[in-house]
Amino acid sequence: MQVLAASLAGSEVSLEGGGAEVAAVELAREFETRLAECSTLAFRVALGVLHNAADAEEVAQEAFIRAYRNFHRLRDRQRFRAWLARIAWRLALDRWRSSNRRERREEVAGQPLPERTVEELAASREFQSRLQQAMDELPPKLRQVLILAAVEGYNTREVSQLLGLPDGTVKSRLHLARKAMVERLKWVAGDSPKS
Amino acid sequence: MGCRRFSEKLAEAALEPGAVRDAALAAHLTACAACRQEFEARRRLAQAVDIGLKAAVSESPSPAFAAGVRARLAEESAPRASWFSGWVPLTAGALAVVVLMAAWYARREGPRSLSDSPQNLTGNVVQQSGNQPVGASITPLPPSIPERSSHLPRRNTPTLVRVAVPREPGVIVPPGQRDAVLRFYAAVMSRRVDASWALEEMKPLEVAELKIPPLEVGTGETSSPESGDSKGLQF
Repeated sequence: MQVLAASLAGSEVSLEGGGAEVAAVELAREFETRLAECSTLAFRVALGVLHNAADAEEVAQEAFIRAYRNFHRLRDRQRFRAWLARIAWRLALDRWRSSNRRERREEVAGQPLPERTVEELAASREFQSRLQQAMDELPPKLRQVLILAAVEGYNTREVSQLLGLPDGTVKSRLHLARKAMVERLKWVAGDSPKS
Repeated sequence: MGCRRFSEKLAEAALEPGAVRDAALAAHLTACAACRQEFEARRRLAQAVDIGLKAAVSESPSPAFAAGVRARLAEESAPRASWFSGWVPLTAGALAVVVLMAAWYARREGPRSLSDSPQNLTGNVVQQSGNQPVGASITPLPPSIPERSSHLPRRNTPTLVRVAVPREPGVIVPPGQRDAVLRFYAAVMSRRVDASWALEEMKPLEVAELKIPPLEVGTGETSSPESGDSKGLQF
């Protein structure tokens, strides 16, 4: 926190004398609290996009650093969680777009998987790979809602607060996203579509 | 069987947990084994998607995550200090050099002599001798200036000096002509005199031949007016 306070006092708080130091210390303490509270959210949002823990951690850290730079400008501190989630989402999406993982993941597609229970299917490495591929193919708006819903335990109210969208919009997007995922993955379970 | 009619409803219903709400679809699923099989497969897949998505984002950041953020912030603040200590003095130094060069150039250019440009006619008129304008500073004229001003009258050629008058260019005037030039300047500035002719190129003077009729001198004889002779001296 000393590092945070020193940096905040040195560059970003335009108060004078001891007032600046006090304000910087308070800001640093608050930022530390937010860091402890919201690390998982930022990391999971990035992980949902990048499917790689190391990359996700790097992006989440970058999101915190960007949030820290403008932390003193954030008037409504209660919005920090949503703000951070959006920063993490944008950064992760940028990195995902710039990477060539999509091409590499195309090699994953193969034969239909043998029939298993739902839990076995969901836990299988093949299903996870194809799930990630199907997620990557979704439009960003649907993917964002799907990932945040998964992070938040499919609580659409939380997601609507994070995104600043009406609850109905979130529900509609989540429904469309899940439907698209099932359509993309329906051959995986070994069933052929019926006419 | 009419399965196509229910395909969309079936896909929608498979995403919802619990019993099928649509009565017609529920009746069809009871009657059609194939549709029931697809419905079950889709519902199973939807559940697997939800479980898989939760599993995909169930990881937590490493214990070193917060320490990593702090370390990166510390790294960021360190280069910022070096940036401040490196770029700001460099920029200030460059600005100082530019300002000094501009001042040197302006001083080098200075006020020009009358022969340099006719536009200087509208500038401040100063003279080497006599009263100097308030705030004027006098510096010796470089040796090259008198050569350029060689068309000035050689008599009473004074020791020319450059008089720097703040903000306005100056002209060099021989002694004795200062008042005349100042009056001319005031007349031009008050628009009583059109100075445009001064900016025009001088035309060569046309020399007209002077025609003087020959002088006739009379014989001294008088003639009466009555005689009608009008010759003789006429005024």
